[in-house]
Amino acid sequence: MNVIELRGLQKHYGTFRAVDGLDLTVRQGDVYGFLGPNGAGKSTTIRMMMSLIRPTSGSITVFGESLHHHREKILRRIGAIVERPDFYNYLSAFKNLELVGRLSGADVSRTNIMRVLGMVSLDERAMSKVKTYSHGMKQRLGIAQALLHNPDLIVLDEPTTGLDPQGMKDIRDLILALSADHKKTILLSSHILPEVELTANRMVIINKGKAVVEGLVNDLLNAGKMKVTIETDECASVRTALSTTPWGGRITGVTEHAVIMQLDRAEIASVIQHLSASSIHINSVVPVRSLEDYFLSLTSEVV
Amino acid sequence: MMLAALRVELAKVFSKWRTYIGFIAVGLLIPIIVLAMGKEGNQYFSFATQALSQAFEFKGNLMNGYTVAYIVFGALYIHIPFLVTLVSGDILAGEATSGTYRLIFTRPVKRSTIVTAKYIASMLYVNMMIVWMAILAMVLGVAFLGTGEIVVIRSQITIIAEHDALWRFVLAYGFSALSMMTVASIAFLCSSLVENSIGPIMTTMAIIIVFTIISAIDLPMFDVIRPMLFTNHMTGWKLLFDDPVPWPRVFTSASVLVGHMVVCFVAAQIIMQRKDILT
Amino acid sequence: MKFPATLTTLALFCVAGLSVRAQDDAQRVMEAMKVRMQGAKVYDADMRIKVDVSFMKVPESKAHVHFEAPDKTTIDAPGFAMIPKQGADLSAAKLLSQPYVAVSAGREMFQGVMMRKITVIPSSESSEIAVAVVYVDTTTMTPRKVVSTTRKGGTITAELVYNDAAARVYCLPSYVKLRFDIGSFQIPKTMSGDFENSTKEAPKGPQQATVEIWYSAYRIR
Repeated sequence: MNVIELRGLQKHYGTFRAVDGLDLTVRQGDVYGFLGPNGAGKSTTIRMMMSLIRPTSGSITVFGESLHHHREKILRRIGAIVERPDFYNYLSAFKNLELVGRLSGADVSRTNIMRVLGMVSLDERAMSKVKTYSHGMKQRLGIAQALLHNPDLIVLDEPTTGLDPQGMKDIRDLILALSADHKKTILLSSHILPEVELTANRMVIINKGKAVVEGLVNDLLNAGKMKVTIETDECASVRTALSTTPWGGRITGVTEHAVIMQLDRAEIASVIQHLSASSIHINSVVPVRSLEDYFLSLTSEVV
Repeated sequence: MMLAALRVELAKVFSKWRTYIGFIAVGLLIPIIVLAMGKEGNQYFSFATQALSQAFEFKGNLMNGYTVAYIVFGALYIHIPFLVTLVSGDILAGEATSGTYRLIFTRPVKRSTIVTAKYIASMLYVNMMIVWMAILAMVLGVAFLGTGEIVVIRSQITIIAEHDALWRFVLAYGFSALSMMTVASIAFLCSSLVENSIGPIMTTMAIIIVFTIISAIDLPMFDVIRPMLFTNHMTGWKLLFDDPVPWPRVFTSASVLVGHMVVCFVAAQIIMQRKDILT
Repeated sequence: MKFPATLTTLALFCVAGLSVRAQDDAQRVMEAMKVRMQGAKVYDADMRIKVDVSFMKVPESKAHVHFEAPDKTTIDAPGFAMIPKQGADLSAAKLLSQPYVAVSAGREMFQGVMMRKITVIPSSESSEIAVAVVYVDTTTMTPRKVVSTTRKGGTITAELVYNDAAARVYCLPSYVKLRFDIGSFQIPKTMSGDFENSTKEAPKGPQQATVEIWYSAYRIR
């Protein structure tokens, strides 16, 4: 079942097109990466999905129903952080969750609220006013309010911003647990690409309001060129051996014990074979295709 | 869901320190006024009644709790609107300033429900302020100065019999609550237009001041618009201390105020329905 | 030529004689009323007072009058009351309580009854009244109307009715209507806080007050 379907989604501000015919599909159980450079239209799209902004045209279907016609019914099943999580700073974390929980129809018993705060390690500071919280604590509180009413779809916009490495890992593990154990569908928008790479199974990259590429993360990362590190003590010999081949121009870096190249997956075996035939001893070959590399390759040319 | 939303809004309103500024200010001012009037209030009458003092001897407790309550009411009427706008002007714009529109408008509650709950919370605050003022003025006034006739000094002097006073006060406070709810409604509408609560407060006060000045200046060119200005009708509570009470004028003024409230509320609803939440 | 002088002298004597007789008669009438008034050494009565002043709305008030001879009058009120300083103490009695000269001033119809008009001039310099005209109902020998001019220049008109037979014996009225001048009235707007222009304009110039007093439940000793 498709949890989210955006078709031809548009949002114009005068002549400026913040979202320009966006199509995407999030399936049930996905941890869906939602990526794009600054100004690509990610926040605008998320705000439209959460009915904070009215689309200029296009359709938003969630849980098989039109958001325009079944807004309250749909929002009851969504928990979201939209950009920076803001709260009522003059109230405690507990009180904030109690108030928003009432509006969501959630269980606002002390037990449930403390349970959710415990999930994000804020239970010991539950009664402190939010104005005393650090940015990272507010981020975690934002996740808590998104989970309070046990939603089926969780929309997380930059959930690990401001967290330390342990905090990031905790959130990452939480996301994976929610997906695997609780069968939640998660839409994850983040600039921290390694985080998305480690948690998302499907993703879309948007730019200038349009989808550039969409699909399974593994498939996307395995397609096209990747960074290959050839570890060897004979770096100069490798350069000499490859200089007469088409791969000579693919060398992007040379260190004391490694030669770094940009190669398609299919080319790796041929390069290794050529170097072996040149009697060059290779210690290891490490092909790495990072999301960051892939992202930049898609977005930098049009930025 | 309306009750849940109203409960949430009231919790927020009464968790803010600015909500209590009005109650504290009234709570400090009224005892001071009551004490001062008790000590030197007779000068208040002698100034107005000097033409009569040679021909008449006044007997009875003229500087009593009822008269003081009337005077307190008239004196604070200028200042209560400012206290009212502190809350009403912030109730929508404050959410924009703090970024919490995103928190509440992503809940499974209609925007119109949330906006209505905020409006009702704002009106409840106004009524609580007026009731507080009424109770304090009457209780302190009567406790210190007893009961008696109300001396109303306007373009003429009207003395309201003691047994005829209480129902007038009840209606007058009801009318003034209506006046203050009108002010709150205007602040509410201004609050829906901007994303900073200072703007609605200042704008509402500026509107009141400008309209009051237009109402006061006796120029023929203002005669056409004067009946439509809500400030012209806000002082309708004084009509309830006329003898006889000009009921058609009272109802007309009340209708104008209710009309303003309805227009402001509906306009705010339309604005908030159409508003893109970008904060 | 002696005849006209004689006639003139005779005529003058006749007029003087008549005048003296008229004055004697007026004085007798006033003295007779005074005696009746003085018959009530002590009395109490309930008062209901209605004040009508152009720039005031005042509710009816209740008061109580207590009189002890020769001239001690006390008026108390349980609540609010506006007591006119002059006239409430039964103006004719006060007028006649001091030395005076009464002169007949003819007759005049008042409320459908022919009244004797008697001018009363207080002899005492300390009297507040400079001159008063008393309209006497000769059938009941009671003053029905008194128009007093004060030394300060004001005029007080009192109209009296006697429906209580027992009180009438002592010329104690059951109803008095007083009319007198009061000063001009001005309230600055900052005091009234009244900035709206639709209210009535305050009346300009000196104003007049009308006070009606009903006396009842006389206890006369």
